Amino acid sequence: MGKNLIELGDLTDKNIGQLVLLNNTTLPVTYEEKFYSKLLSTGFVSKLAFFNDIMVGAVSCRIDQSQVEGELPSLYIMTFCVLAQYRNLGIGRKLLEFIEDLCKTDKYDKISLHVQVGSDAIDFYKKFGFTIESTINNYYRNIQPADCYVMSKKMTSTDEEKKEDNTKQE
Amino acid sequence: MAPTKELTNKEITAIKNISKLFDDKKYSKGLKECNTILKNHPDNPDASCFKSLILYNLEQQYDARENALKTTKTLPTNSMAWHTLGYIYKLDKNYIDAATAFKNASKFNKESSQILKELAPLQLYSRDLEGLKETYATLLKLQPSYKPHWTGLVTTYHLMGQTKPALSVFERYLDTLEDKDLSGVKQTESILYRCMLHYELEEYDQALELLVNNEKKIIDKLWAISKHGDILLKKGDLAAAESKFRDLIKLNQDDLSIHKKLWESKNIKSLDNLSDEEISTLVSLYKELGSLYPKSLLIQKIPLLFLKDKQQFREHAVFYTKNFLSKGIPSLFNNLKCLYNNKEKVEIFSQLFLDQLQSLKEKQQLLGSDEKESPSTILWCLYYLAQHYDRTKDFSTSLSFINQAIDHTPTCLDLYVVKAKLYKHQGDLQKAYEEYDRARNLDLADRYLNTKCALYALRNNDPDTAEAIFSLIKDETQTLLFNIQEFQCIWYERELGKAYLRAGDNARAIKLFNLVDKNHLEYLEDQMDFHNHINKKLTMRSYIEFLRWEDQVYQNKPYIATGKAHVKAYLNHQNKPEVMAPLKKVPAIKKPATKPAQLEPKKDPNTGLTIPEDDDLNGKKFLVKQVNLMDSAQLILDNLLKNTNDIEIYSLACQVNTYQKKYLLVLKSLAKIKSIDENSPCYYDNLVNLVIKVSEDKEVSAIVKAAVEKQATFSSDVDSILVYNQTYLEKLGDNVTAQHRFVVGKIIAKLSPSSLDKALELILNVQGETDWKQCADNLQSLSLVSSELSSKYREKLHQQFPIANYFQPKVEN
Repeated sequence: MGKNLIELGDLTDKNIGQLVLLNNTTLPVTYEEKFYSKLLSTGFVSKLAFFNDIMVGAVSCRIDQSQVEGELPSLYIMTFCVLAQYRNLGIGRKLLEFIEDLCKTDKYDKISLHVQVGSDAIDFYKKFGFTIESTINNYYRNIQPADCYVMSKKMTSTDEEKKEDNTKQE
Repeated sequence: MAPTKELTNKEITAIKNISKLFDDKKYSKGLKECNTILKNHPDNPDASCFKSLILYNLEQQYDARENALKTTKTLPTNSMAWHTLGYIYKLDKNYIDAATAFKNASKFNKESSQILKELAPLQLYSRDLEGLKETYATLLKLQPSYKPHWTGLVTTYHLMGQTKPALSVFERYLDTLEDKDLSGVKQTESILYRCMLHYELEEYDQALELLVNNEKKIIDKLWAISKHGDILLKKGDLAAAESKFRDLIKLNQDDLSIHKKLWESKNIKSLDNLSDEEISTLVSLYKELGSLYPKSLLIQKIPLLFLKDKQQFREHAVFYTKNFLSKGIPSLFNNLKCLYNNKEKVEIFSQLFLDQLQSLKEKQQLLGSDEKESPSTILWCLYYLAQHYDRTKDFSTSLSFINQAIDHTPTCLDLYVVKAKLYKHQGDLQKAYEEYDRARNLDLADRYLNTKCALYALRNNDPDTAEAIFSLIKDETQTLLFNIQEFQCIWYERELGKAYLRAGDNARAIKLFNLVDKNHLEYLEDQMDFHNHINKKLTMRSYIEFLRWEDQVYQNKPYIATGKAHVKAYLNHQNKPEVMAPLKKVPAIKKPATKPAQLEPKKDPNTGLTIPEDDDLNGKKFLVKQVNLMDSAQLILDNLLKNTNDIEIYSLACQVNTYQKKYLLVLKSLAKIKSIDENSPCYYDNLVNLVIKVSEDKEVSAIVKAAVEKQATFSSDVDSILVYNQTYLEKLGDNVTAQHRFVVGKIIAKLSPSSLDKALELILNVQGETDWKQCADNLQSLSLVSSELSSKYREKLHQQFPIANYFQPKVEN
């Protein structure tokens, strides 16, 4: 399967229909038009993933400014999905790597997200170093289970941690 | 007429001054001067001619024309008067009258080469080749050293099919040239054009000699090699020809026409009815080519065209389709479509792709491969199967496959395009549009999807939606109609016209179809100035090819499709059949609000003159202006009838000519239909119509009547026709189709309302009818005969094509 081509592409007002369709197919929650119309404005980051030229995955994030002055803003993942038939091919990894690179270049403090309790996605995030921060009961209104975890990954590290990272890699 | 007074010196100076004023575009002042002189010398040719020209430039074209005409009447032997008239006609694009005027101008001024030079392109335009030959011959006498006259005469001879004189004149012309006139491209072209002429004269040795002796001088190597091969084929030197075509394949592997020549060099003229020996020749040839050029898709495909053995065919199909499936190349079906008239091959494809699907589902592998496929491979397999079953008219299976594909990858927009086609083929144009629009919404930046979706909207009788989509890509400052005219967007003009045709708005339809006609005329008119330019070059080969292209400019699918609808609109305007489909009142997409303030007045790009607003959008006035509508229809037919084997065109010709009472022309068309397809139901339909019409016509001559009855072999009274109906069906035997039964049923219903039951039985037997479009046409024509019958026919068709829009039970609003 070495011939597969995975590429990332930008979200535009012309192809946003594909994102709507992808989210409606894969996510239990349906977002309204209002949600999509703001994705193209500043303060939001989205990326589409193409597998052999077909759009099969996407991530959309919100940039949250910190309430505390002087602290770095953080990135909140609003939607993150890959079509069921195209999982375990490295598409999610590619999207996540894009987000992490963005954190490094644009200096975001951490990445956080909500995930439904019992979701397969939890293992995926854990694999990439996300940890469960807390649990929110009755987070979702119309779906079961209604509880969710808040997961996050710290992106800026102190110098000591960096050193530690480096030794780990070696 | 008062005797002509001598001009005073002052007046002579005044005339010279007018010429200067004209050149400086000081028209009003010039006109004043003209009138002053004409007051004293009403017949002064200079003043009168300048007056015409000035008036034309002052946008008083009508007065200009009248004045120029008047001048030729008062001064019938004055060359300048005729020249001016011709010039004005030429500006009017009235080329026929312009040519006549120039001819007269030349008659009274035989020494003028200027007039003849202006005459030549007009004669070429109307293909008055005899006249053109004379013009160039005279020009050559007047100016023997002027090169374009020589080449003009050569092309004229060539177009007349007089290749021999063309060649001898061309060679004489080359003798007059000096070496410096014949270098580089000009040298190549002079050699290759001579080669072309020799080849057309079947003088193969001379043609070959030119190529061989001048090999180093020839720049267009590709043409030379290919011609070289052609000559060798003609001479029967197959082995040498083969090596030439192999050289060409080395340069381009994917040109089918070269492969065809290569087969010819193996003594194989066509791939139909190949012998076993020929197949094995081809097998080894393509095995070799395949290993030489493993990347050429055409070389991979050709064996599918000639292989007969089922096992070999299937194996090769597995090999050929593999890349398309695993790389996700959507065009696979389009590539294989040409094989679908072979039932055996269709059966093999059907089994093969089902097996592939099975294998992908079980092992994620394609047949005969141990490579693990990516998930998109199964998607393209489903995508193929959907198209396969659509082509074999198994609607529900096709729909099931495309829906499986959509479940698998809903974001793949090609799937919705195929689904749209699926609905279209079943006659559900509403759903077809909706599916296409779904695809479009996934990628709004895709121009192809946008335009194609507009087409689907037009087919769905929804011009407002089409316009809304089209306005995304058109020039915002102009109206849509102006835009599509400007872009010569023929398909839009045609499909919009057809929507109005279906809605019964024939006037508006005709107006739109007329635009297509105009577009084609423009192609020819645009070349007017080109001829004089190209004559100075020595690119004779491409010029002749271009002129030959001009001769068949109306023989292309878009024109023919429009022309047929055009003639139909004229016929419908006379017959007023039931409306097929009204336009949608509520468009699927709302038009963006127009900003009228932004609409600039339109300017003609050539003259800068303002183009007046179209105050006749519905075409009503346009239609009134045409004196005889059927004559207009005949003009379109004249273009369509050139060089065609299309029964539908001859059938339209029958209808128009029957209406015009040109019965002998109808007989001619009937004979043509019979020669194309002996059993064509169109033949009998039009024949009986003719017989009835002739018997009703009191003024018809005995000779015509006799000729018609001879053709018919039955007499025109109702009973004879009814009896012959039976004979007709019996004679057809097993060849009877639903269309034959329909035609006979319609005749019975028309002639003998008491036998409606018999008519009904024939018409409602739609067994074996597979084309809903034909049925929709039938339904419309039946509405002219009996409304009772047509409503029953509609019910039957609704059963036969349950989702087709046109046969749905009528909903009363």
